[in-house]
Amino acid sequence: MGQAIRLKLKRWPGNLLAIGLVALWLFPIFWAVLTSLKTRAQQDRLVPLFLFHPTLDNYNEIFTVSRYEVAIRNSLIISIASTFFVMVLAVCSGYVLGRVRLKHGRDIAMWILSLRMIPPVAVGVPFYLLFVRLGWIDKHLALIAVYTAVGVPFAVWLVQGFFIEIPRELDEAATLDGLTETETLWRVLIPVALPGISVAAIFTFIFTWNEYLLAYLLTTSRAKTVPLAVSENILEYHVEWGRIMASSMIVILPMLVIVFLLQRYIVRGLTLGAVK
Amino acid sequence: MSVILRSLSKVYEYGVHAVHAVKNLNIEVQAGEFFTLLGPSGCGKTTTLRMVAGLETPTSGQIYLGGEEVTEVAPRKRDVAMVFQSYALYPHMTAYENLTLNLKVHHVPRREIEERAAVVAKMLGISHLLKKKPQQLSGGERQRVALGRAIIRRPKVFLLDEPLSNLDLKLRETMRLELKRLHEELKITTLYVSHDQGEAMVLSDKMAVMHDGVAEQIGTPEEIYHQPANIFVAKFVGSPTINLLRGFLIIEAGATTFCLARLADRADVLARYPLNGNTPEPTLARACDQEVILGVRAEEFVVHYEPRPGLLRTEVDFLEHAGSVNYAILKLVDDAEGKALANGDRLIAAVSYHERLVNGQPLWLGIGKQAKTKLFAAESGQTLQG
Amino acid sequence: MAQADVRNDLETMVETHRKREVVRRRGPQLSWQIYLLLLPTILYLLIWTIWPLVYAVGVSLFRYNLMRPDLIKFVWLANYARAFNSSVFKGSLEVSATFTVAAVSSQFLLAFFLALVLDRTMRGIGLLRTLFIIPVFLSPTVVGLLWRNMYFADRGVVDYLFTRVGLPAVHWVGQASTSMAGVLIMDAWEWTPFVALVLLAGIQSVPPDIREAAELDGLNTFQYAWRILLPTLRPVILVVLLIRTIDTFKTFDSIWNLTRGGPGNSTYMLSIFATQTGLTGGEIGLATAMAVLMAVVSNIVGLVLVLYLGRREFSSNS
Repeated sequence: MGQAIRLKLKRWPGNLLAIGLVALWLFPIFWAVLTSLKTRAQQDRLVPLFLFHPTLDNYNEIFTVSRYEVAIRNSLIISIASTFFVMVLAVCSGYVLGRVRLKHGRDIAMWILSLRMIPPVAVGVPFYLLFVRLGWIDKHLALIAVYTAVGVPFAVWLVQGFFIEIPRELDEAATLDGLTETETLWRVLIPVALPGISVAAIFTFIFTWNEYLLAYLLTTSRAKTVPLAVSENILEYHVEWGRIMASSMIVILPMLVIVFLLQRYIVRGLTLGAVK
Repeated sequence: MSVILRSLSKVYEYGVHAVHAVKNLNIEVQAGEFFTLLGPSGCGKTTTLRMVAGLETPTSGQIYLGGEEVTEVAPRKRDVAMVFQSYALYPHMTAYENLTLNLKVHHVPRREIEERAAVVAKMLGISHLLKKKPQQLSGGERQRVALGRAIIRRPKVFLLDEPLSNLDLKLRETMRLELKRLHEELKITTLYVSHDQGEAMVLSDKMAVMHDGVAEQIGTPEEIYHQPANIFVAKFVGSPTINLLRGFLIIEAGATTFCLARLADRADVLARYPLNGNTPEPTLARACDQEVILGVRAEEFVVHYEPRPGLLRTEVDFLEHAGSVNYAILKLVDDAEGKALANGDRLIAAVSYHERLVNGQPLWLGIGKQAKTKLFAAESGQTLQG
Repeated sequence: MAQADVRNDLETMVETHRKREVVRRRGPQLSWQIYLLLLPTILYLLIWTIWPLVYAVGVSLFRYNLMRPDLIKFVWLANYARAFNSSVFKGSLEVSATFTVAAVSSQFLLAFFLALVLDRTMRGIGLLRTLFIIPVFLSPTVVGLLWRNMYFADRGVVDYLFTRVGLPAVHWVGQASTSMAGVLIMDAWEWTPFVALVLLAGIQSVPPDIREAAELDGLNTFQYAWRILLPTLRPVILVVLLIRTIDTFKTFDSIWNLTRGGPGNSTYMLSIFATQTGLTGGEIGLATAMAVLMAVVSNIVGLVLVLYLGRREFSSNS
C-alpha cells in the first residue's frame, strides 16, 4: 500500500477536511430536518432558530390532514412497476448490444442513448393529449408506461456497459460446459452483471420516484405521486414548510439505507458506464 | 552511493493481528554494488525495497543513502529510481514521454532531455519505439522503457522489483545479460529483488537470502552457494534442490565419518561417508552426540552400478532429461520409515547423458572427492561451525 | 496395435471436425432469437418515445390553445417563427445557455477538488460518500423548495449564517443581479457530488504503481493531477460532461420551485418558458415548438460531444 502517496495531506488534516466538507455540504439536510420539527411560529422568526423544543406535529399532519400515505402508495406502485419493466427491457437489450456482434449494434446503442436528450416537456403534450383520449389520465398505468419509456435509455446504457465488461472466456467456458445461449445468459452472465443491473435499477427507481413534470401533467388526484404531494404544500398565501420538510425527510430514509448498502456498486456502475 | 539499512523493521497492524514483514534487518550495500534481496514470496524483500524507495515507512530502524539518513524523507526527494514488476508506464504517454517526464518535472532544459533520451534509447535498443504508446509495445519492450526511465535520471540508487518475472524464459535470459552489462557500464548502486535464485546468482555482487522478514545470510553468491549458513539457505539456493541426509557422526582412527542412519537409534546404518575436512575437527568432535544433516548437491554424487561397501543403495524412480545433464530421481530402498532424508522422500543425482539408466535400476551413491558437502545440526538447522 | 491407434486417431479427428462444423453453423442460426431479445425494447421506444415526438412535432405545426380548442389552425412553421422573433424566447435561451455553461464548468472544477479530498482510505469513508451523494437522490422539486426556504430574505438561514461570520447578507434570490448565482449554488449543491464521485472512481482506478512511479519520478500533487490524472480520466470526464450538459440544459423542477424564473426574467430558463406557455397559457402548439427546439439544441450539442469522443466509446464490440 502506498501510504506515502496520499494526494493531499497527511492523515489527520486530510481526514478532518473530508469530514468537514461533507458535514458542511449536508447542512441543508440538517436544516430541513430542523424545520420539519418546528411549529409554524418557530419557523417564522426573524432570526433562525437552532435550539428549540421539537415537535412531531408536522409529521402527524401530513398523514392526517393531507393523506400523504396515498401519495407514497402511488409512488411505490408506479416506481416499482416502471423499474421492473425498464430492467426487463434493459437487461435484454443490454445483453444483445453488449455481447453480440450485431451489424448495426453500435448505431442502435447510440440511437437509444440519444433518446435521453429529449426534454420531458416535448413529449409531455402528446402524452397528455393521448391519455385524455384513452381515458388514462390519473391512472397509474399512464405514468408507468411513460416512465418506462423515459427510463430505458439510461438503464440500457448502464447495463450494456456492465455486460461489455464481462470477459468472453466466461461465455466460452459455459459453451464448453454444454450451456445454451439462454442458459448462459441466465446462469452466468446475469449473476455476474448483477451489480451493474442493481445500480441501473436503483437509478431508475429514484428517477421515477422524483419525477415531477410528467406526473403533474398526467395525474390529478388519485394517482398523485410523492413530489406532487410535497409541492401541494405550497398554498396560495403561504407555504407549509414544516410539512414539506417532513414529507421529504420521510422518503429520504429508505433511500439512504439502500444507497449506503450499494454505494460501492453505484460508483462502479457510473464509471463503467463512462469508461469502456 | 551506499545504502545502509540499520535495524529496519516493518510491522503491519490489522486490528488484533500484526504481521511482521521485516524484522530487524541490517544490510550494507557498497557504492556501485549489485545487491540482491532473494527469498520466497512473503519474505519481506519487496517491503524492504519499498522502504528504501520511501513508498513504505519503517516501523523502526533507519535508512541511509550515501551516509545521509533518509528514513523520513519523501520518495520524491531521495533521488532513487525504481523499476516496478508491472513496469508502471504511463498508458497515455508515448515511450519517449514516459522516459523523459521525470526530467521535465525537474526542469532539465529541453535540449539536454533530447540528448539524454537519445543516448538511453540507443543503450537499450528502443530508439525505434519512442513514438509508440505502452499498449503497442511487447512485454520486453515495455520493460526496457521502464529501465530507460530509471536510467535517464542518473539516480544514486536503482531499485528493481522482480523486473524480469513477467517475461518469458528466452527473453528473461537475454535481459539478464543486458542488466549485467548495464550495471558494468553505469556502475550505479543497485538493489534487486527476486525469488529466482538462478537469476540472483548470475547478477549479484552480493545477496541477502531472506525468510520471514529476516536475512538468513548475507554474502557473495559463491559464499552462499558453497557455505550456506543454514538449511533454509542451502535448500533455497541451488537448482536442483540440495539433498539432505539425516544421520550422525563417528570419529574412527582419526577420521570422521558421516553415517546415514535408518532409525533414530544408531544401530541401523545405511551408508558411511568419510568427510572431506570442510568443517574443523573440534566442531566435529562436539557434534558427535547430536543428530546431523549432511547436504549434498546433485552434482556431488557419484553413481555406481554395483554394490560397494558403505554406499547408499537406491533405486531409480524416474529420469529427468534436462538437456546436457540428466537427473536421476532416486528412492531409498531400505528406508521403510522414511527417516533418512530431511528434504522430501527422493534423492537427486546428476548423471551425464552418456549413462544409460532405466526405471527401477539399482544404483549405489558415493560422494565425490571434490565435493564440498555441508554439515548442519539437525535441531537448529544451522551450519556446524567453529 | 498400431493400426487400431491410427484408426482411433482418425475417428477422433473426424469427430472434432464435425463438432466444429456444428458450432460454426449454430452461429447465424441464433440471430433470430437475438433479435427477439432486442425487439421489444426497440418497439417500445418507437411507440412510446419516437411516436410521441413525431406527434409533438406535428402539434407544433398548429396554433392550438387548450382553452380555445375551437380555434385550432394549421400554421406550418408560424410557431417557430414566433419563437425566434420573441425576445422572451431569446432571453430564456440565453439564460439556459449561461446557466448550463456556468453550472457545468464550475461544478467540474469543484468536483475535481472534492474528489481529491475524498480520495482517502479512512474508516467510514463509505459512510461519508453515501452522505455526500444524498443531494443527487433527492427530488429536484424538494431541492428547489428546500433552497427557497433557506434563501428566504431576512428570515433566510443562509443570509443569517453569512452575517454571523461577518459576510454581508446577500439576498440571493431576492434580486435579479444575484439570482443566477443563487440558482447556481443550489444546482451545484445538488449535482456536484455526482460528478465528484464519478471522478473519484476514475482517480481510484489508476493502478497504485502508476501513482508510485509518478511519485518517484518527482511529480508533486499538482503535477500528478495535471499530467497523469486528467489525461487518463479524459474519457470519463467527457462522458460525464455530456450527461451533465444535456441534463443541466433541461433543468426545470428545481429552478421552478426556487424562483419560478424570477425575479423578473433573471432565471427564466427555456424549459420554464416552454412549460409555462403550455401550462399556464394553454398554448400547447407554441409550447411544443419550443420544446422541439430545445430537443434539437440538446441533440446538436450532444452530437458534437459524441463525435468528439469518438464513436468507439459507445460501441458494443471492442
